[in-house]
Amino acid sequence: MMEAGEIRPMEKQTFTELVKQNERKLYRVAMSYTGNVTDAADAVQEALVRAWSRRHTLRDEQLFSTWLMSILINECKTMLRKRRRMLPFAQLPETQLQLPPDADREWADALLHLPEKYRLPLVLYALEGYSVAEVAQITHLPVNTVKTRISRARKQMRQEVMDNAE
Amino acid sequence: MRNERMDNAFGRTPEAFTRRIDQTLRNLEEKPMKRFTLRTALAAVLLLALLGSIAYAVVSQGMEWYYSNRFTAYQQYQPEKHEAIMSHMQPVEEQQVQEDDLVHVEVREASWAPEHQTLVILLAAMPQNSEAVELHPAWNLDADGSYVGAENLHLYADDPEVRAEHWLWTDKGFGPVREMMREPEKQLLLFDTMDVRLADAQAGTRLKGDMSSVDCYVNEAGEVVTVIEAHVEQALGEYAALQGGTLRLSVPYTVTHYLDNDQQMHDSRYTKTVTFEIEVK
Repeated sequence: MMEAGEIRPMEKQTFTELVKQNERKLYRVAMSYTGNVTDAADAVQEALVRAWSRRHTLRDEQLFSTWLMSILINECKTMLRKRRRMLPFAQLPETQLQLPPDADREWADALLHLPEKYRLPLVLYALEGYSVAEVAQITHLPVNTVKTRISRARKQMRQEVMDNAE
Repeated sequence: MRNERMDNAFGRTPEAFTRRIDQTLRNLEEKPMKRFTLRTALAAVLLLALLGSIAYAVVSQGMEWYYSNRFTAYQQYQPEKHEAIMSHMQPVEEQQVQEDDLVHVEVREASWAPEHQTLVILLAAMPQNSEAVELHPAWNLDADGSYVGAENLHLYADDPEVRAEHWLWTDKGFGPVREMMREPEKQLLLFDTMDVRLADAQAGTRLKGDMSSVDCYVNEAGEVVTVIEAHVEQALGEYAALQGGTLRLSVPYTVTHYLDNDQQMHDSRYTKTVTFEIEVK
């Protein structure tokens, strides 16, 4: 029986199941910011703790994925601002990237060389399968801006990959 | 544009990552959440104001303050690492700095925690002439990545966020450089460093490894404080043993004049090095 003044938020089991369903998305979005597994894990850990403490703000479980991704992106930005990891990726010494052995390094490099404002919409749309509307919701950007950035990101990716191939 | 190669850019989700997520989920506490009343909100605001005033009253110059106030993740999630860094903390007394007319740099504290292969260096930079110069971290200039320069604006006509004007991040906020400076009439210098290297026998060897990080901020005294945390692959103990238990390290840094012309600003950048010794056991 609930006591007066108590809210019944999402239960831990439900939260855990939903997080596990989104684990691959969390990993790749965090990697697209940090470029290494350890920092990605740090950011996701912080995001999960924050999301858990704010789970009462999620009105519809159907929106869990976009809601959690928003929190993760904010954590990545905060972490990068507070604990500066690297210069803009174009200046990043190669040794500070840490990719798993089975990663496609050429494509990871190309992705990580995109400016963040183009990289994030591309990762969310092309890698994680969010719709343009969902990407707009996650990034708090207008839909047209999202479309423009995805288009620009694609163009730059094609150029990066072609340049690397030469 | 979904293709197999981009899909595999970051590889499969590593087991270490999965274990970390699982552990985080296990440790989440399930507590009933009380609805906030106005009384609760007021109490929270008062408490935050009190804590904020205490924090501002503390001059943030040391490694202990840093790991207890600005970067608290180790305290919360890796207390053994926090303890290791704190227990091995040492003041840095022996150091040499190249002559620099504009900026004085000193390494204040170091910590070598061999159990975590972690080296932490805290250094402070301040203008030689603080009456005429204001110093900020170089990273705080255009930290959002939206500066493209006037000559490139036409390339981003569809992007409402690009700028032709430099913005600076300070404790006043993020905005046009002169508006964000404490004293806009002063000359602005930008300070940057991110490397720790072995000096002497293996001179120039960069101490490297994953988990390395750099944090940079301006403290109450107007000094630019940089904390470099390096996860070190080399066996520092072996190097130090050859030198009687001390290790000579160097930290290169750059100083840039903020100027309206980007090329001149780039050309103004110079690099110096501070070299120092720490005890390594």
